[in-house]
Amino acid sequence: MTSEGDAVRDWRALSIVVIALVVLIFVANLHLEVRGEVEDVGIFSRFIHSVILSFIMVNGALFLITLALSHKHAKIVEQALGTLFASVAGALLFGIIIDAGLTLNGAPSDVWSQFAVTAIRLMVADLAILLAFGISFGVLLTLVTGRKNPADPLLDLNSTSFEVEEE
Amino acid sequence: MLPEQYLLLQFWLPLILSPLGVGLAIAKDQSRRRVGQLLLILIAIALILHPKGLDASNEGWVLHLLMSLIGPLAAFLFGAWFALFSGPISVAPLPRSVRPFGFALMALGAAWFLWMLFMARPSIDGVSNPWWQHFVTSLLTSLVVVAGFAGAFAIIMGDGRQKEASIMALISLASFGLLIYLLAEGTESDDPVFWRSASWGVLGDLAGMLVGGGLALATFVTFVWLGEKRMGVPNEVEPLSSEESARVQEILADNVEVGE
Repeated sequence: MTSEGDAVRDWRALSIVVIALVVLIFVANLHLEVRGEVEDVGIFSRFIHSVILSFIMVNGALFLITLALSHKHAKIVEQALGTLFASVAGALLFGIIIDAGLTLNGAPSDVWSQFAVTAIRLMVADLAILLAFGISFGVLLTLVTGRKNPADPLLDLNSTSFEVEEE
Repeated sequence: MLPEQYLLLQFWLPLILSPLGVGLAIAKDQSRRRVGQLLLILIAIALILHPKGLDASNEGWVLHLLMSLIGPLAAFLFGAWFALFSGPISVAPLPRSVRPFGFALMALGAAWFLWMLFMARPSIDGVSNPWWQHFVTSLLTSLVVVAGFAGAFAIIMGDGRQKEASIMALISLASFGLLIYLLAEGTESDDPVFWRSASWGVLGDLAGMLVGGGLALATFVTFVWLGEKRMGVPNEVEPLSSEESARVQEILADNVEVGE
């Protein structure tokens, strides 16, 4: 039986694995980026646009889901108004940074074009992430359920009847 | 520059409404569930009935990318379905002979994707899909991390799951190897410079998604916490009157036969 300390140790190990993989990918990209020719992708602008748009999209989605799941006993004022205002604040911030000239390469510099290109990029990346989860855990589930286990002896036991028997 | 009206009505609006449709479709109330299902169907119809050529806009190219992926995805999903339910499980089992066919379908899905990657990049009338490299580099980068996590999870949390962990590690390493190959050598249709640029840009996008999405979730948790905090302590409940106590005892005696 695992104790709470074991669970913390296990999750710490898993986090280290994930962080190590992220660093590995980053270093590999950086290495090839430095060695070979590459287009100027404006990674800083893309990062900033991605942060703000992800913030808007997640808050917007949470706002709509909050509305969809609301009922008469739910206290959703803070939740609904908060997510709505957070989305609006994100949109305003996005407009401000575009006006300030922090735009993406390869797209017209107006707010809508910049918004649309980043939103599409994020949607494509979201699709890829979903597929990665589906593929990895689909294969893992298929493999895990393939193992034959001995029959559970508890299944052979009779359960006790709790019904009151008439005399 | 504003988008064309058909893009607003048949791409952006359906996408914006999709969380509402999902939320309604999973609601407890039956009538809401029906409205949600209807909304999701309407969203799908609006996206499918794209009035102009898919190569006319960036949004159309996204739909083209989705359509291009239907084949390998369907092969993989059906393969996983067959392999999963023909294993030694007690829930809705399929004949055991179907299991190799399931694995073969999964392999077909992977091979189909590799064929598209190296030999047949999705295109319309010779014009390549502009989102293809972004998708592939996002998928491979995510696969490295997610499959690596799944492998470590199987070995740390599982009981004697070395085989499963090694296969997940193999998927992670193969994805990493493929990504590095693309960045170093490119493909028949694309120079490695474009792959490097796409991968480098994807790192910025994925990092931004992590930060922005994480911030949004933290904000949401804060709003829920504030809401809970403002609710205050509920009023004290009056103790049961003697009549109510008697009634409760009566019900208990009838059903549990207490005190006999």
